Amino acid sequence: MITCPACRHQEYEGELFCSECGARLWDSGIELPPTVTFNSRQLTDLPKTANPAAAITNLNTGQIALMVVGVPQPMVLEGRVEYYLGREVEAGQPPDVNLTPYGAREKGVSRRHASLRVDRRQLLLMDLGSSNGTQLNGSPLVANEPVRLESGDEIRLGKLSIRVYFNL
Amino acid sequence: MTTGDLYDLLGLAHRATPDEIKAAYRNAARRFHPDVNPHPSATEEFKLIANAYVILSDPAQRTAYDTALQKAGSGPLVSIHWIPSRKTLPVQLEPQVFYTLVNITASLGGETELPAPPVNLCVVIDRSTSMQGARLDQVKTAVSQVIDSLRDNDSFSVVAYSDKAEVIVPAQQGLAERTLAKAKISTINAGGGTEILQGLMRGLVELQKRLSPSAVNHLILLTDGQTYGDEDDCILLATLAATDGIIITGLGIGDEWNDRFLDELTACTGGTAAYVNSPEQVKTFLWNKVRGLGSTYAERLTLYITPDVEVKLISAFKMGQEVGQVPVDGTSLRLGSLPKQQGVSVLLKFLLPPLSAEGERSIARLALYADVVSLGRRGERTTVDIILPGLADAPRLPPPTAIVEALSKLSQYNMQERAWQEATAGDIASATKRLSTLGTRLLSSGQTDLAKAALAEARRLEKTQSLSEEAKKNLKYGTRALLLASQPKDIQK
Repeated sequence: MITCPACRHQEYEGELFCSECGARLWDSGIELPPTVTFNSRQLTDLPKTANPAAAITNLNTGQIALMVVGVPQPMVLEGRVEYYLGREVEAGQPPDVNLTPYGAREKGVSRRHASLRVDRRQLLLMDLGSSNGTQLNGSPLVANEPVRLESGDEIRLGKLSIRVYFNL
Repeated sequence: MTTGDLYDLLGLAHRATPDEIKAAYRNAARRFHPDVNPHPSATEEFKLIANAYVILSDPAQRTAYDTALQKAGSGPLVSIHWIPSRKTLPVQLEPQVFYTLVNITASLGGETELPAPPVNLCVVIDRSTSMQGARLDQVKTAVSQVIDSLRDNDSFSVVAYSDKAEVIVPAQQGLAERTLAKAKISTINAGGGTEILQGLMRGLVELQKRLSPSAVNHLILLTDGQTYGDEDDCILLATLAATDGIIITGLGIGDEWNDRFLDELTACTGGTAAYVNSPEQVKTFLWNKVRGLGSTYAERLTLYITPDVEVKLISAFKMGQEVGQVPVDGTSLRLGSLPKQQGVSVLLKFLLPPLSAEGERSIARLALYADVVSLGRRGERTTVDIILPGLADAPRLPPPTAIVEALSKLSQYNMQERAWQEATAGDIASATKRLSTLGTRLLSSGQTDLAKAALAEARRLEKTQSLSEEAKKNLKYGTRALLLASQPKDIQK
């Protein structure tokens, strides 16, 4: 059996779409560029700008910048359609956006907490059924239901606040 | 099994002269004309001969037919290609699902000119009180237009029904009296209830009069309301009609009619049901439908699916010019007619047992029977076996685009179906949740209008705790229409 990543419904091997929620069940890694994993070491290597806010307003098309509140350096994401936000499992695979260096564990971020998906020049945020929930500009999200973000929105994964900027 | 071509029917060689053809026809007519020979199968034989003569006695049609026949050679006239959801099956100890998209196409499609098959059509019109006004007016205009478009070897009849049915235009060929037929149609008045069985029965009787195995026999049922208590009889009647080679198309106008019933009624004959929400659309629908009938390549497409031991056929969904669920409880799937230019596709879902060893795994045999009416050949059979290699470490490749596209749309269609079932069963919370999930799925696949409709209905359902028939039909036929064959490529360019 395979488990739907969105709603945990069980489906037979070979099924392509979840019968419960219509989510895609196979991995279509083909047309996309290889996975880029960001971690704190790489982030410190990024050129420092005097004013991070300026960098954020000058994003190239297709870039998404995540500003963890209290951290001056943004994480810039680009090249993928979907990013999983979460923290690293011990000796396991890190998610696409690993929030462990920002005290994710202490702040109640789940290992697979939320996802950001680029969809026709829109950015969609979806809570993946996390333990402590996700908030958008202060209002909690329903799990597995994507919502559209505006550049500059503040999202909260557990107690970790992040501002999201993008130019799509 | 091939019953031979038109020349065989008349006992002629392919090089026969026009005089020989005429003589052979006269001779055959003397043997089989129903006035001469009372045997029941004589009538059928005579109709075949008469149709063959229409084509062979007309030089233009005969040339077209000969060319097509030559091109066909001895190969199958109908081709089947299947696309599997995966190229190899993984060896594993649990059951697995397997999809295949079966594409059925005319072997002589494209540029080959084919004689147009004779059409035997009956239009059954709902004249209940609710049809009063624009609806009935539009239907009447649309039917009159259809009459103008008929050709000389087509047969045509019109039945109107409310709680009883009346033959407005009796089955007639050649339509020498088009003006009279149109005048009669203009006299149809609205009044009474809706009893579909009445109309269906009279309509089928009219069709039977001109029934021919080498023609396109078709009934179009128009309705705008619910029929009460006679649903089962209607389905039974439709099943019988299907065995006679009649296909039923349903058209529901407005929001009051029973979509589940009309789907079932038409599906058991290989036809489909459609929905229009404004009376103006009736004209376009009828016009396209009748034009489609005239360019039919093959009729009565029947797909016999014999799964291998322990393999189960779970569902079948027809796609192409017409879209709809095909019931899989019988031994065969009725797929309706095959247009000349466009194929018919059916998406099959199988459940396979655990696979214990590597090697070739056969899944099912598909045998397609079709009457290639445009060439006067009946019972054309094409067979394919679905076989895939089983591998211990089968690579996980992304499924083919054609299957992904079909299934992603089908899963959206299925989601709205589940939502309505939940809502009808009183589980409003689940239905609401499912509709809003569907909304986001539709949004991410670019269907903004349908997405809005789904989300609006989710909100409405949450507030009022009851279904809106209009939203239901909009979403049902909207998501279903996504499965319609996309426009030919040259139009998009």
